[in-house]
Amino acid sequence: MSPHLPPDEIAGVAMLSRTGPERRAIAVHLRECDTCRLAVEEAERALGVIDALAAPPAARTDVLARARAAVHAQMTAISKLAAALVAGLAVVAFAGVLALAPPIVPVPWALIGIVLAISGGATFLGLSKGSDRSAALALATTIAAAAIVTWISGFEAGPARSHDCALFELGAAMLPLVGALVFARTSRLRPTALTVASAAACGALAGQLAIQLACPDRHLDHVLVFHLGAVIAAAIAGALIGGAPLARPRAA
Amino acid sequence: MAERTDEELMASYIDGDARAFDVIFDRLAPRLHAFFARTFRSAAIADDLLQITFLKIHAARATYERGRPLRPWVFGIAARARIDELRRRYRTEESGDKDLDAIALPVEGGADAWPEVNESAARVRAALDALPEGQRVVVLLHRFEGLTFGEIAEALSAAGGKPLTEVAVRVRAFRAYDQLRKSLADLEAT
Repeated sequence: MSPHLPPDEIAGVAMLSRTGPERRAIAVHLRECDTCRLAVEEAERALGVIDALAAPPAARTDVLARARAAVHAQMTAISKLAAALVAGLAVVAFAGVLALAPPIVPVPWALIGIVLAISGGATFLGLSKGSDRSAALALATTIAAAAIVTWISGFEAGPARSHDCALFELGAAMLPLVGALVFARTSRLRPTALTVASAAACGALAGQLAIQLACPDRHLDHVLVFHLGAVIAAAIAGALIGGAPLARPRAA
Repeated sequence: MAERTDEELMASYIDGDARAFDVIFDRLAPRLHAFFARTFRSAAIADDLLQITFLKIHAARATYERGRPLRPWVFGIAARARIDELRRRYRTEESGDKDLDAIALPVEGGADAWPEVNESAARVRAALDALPEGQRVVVLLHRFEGLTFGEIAEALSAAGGKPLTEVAVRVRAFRAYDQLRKSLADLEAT
């Protein structure tokens, strides 16, 4: 039989978890030694009174909410200035595509300004709030704007002829997308995939606005696939990139 | 889908995932609050320390070693906040800055202390409070928070800034439980 448990360890053994490795190791001795087993059982009964201690009151929900909010306040999304700059890059993207693909029709500046303001404003809110809800709203706004722009531009029957337009739009999407990622690296909060998607879609929409003015092809397939489709493709690409490790904040 | 572990969530939180932080908060905040409340017997102090601890966790998140058990790391930060508060509130000329064991807790607790359910519970509370601080914190973490001696050693090493072995924690715990057994021996029969 193994040696008896030291008297000053009896209480400690009694408080060990019965399923823990230390207690299991001692259990072999306790099965063989009535003296130690009775002593441990007595200590278990004695120390069972600890359970009589009243549990402290649970933390109030407002206390928990305040503590959580204090940390959330430290986890700010990208700053409003940065969000505004990202949204502003969509305007740069529009100008860039316009310069590379000169318009063949008069430019409706007012309409373009309204569409860019709506999509850019929604993207700004999505980026600065950093929540999926606001980003989803921004993304939906941008894609809806892209669909409306496609619709009001009109269609002709016939097959798609060129994919250059999609390349212009995806190139335009790169500016806000890269901007969002750069600012995300310096923020304390990882952007959600949806926020990055909304930035990319906003840039692609700006590209679409410009390319609609330069592209003579109004065939339904072409407009849906390479004009509107490129905006959706940019959003999907943004979502994928937004979920990748490179979108993690460097400050972490 | 399997529930994500604390450690996986912490890795996501470090990467800037606010939702992962929320899950960690939901899991650990009630326990941290109880840990503080049991020490100070005051919900108001526990409220403050809970917020302080989570802000410290946030500030120190980059120092968390990915993959290591999260609870000892978190309770290490909590234990540090607890020590600072103990010193701030109860340090005396006699106890000085260093000797935590010389700091006595007021048995009556804070002004918002909750009543114990009966005299036995009050005796248990008094016996716990009478333990040296080094033993009391071990009992709180072992008995009430369910940390193993190894996890407690890790937490208290981080909190105290000097290494504490698992064996040393075990010795403290065993001494504390032996002292409690002696102090509460007469309660067994009642």
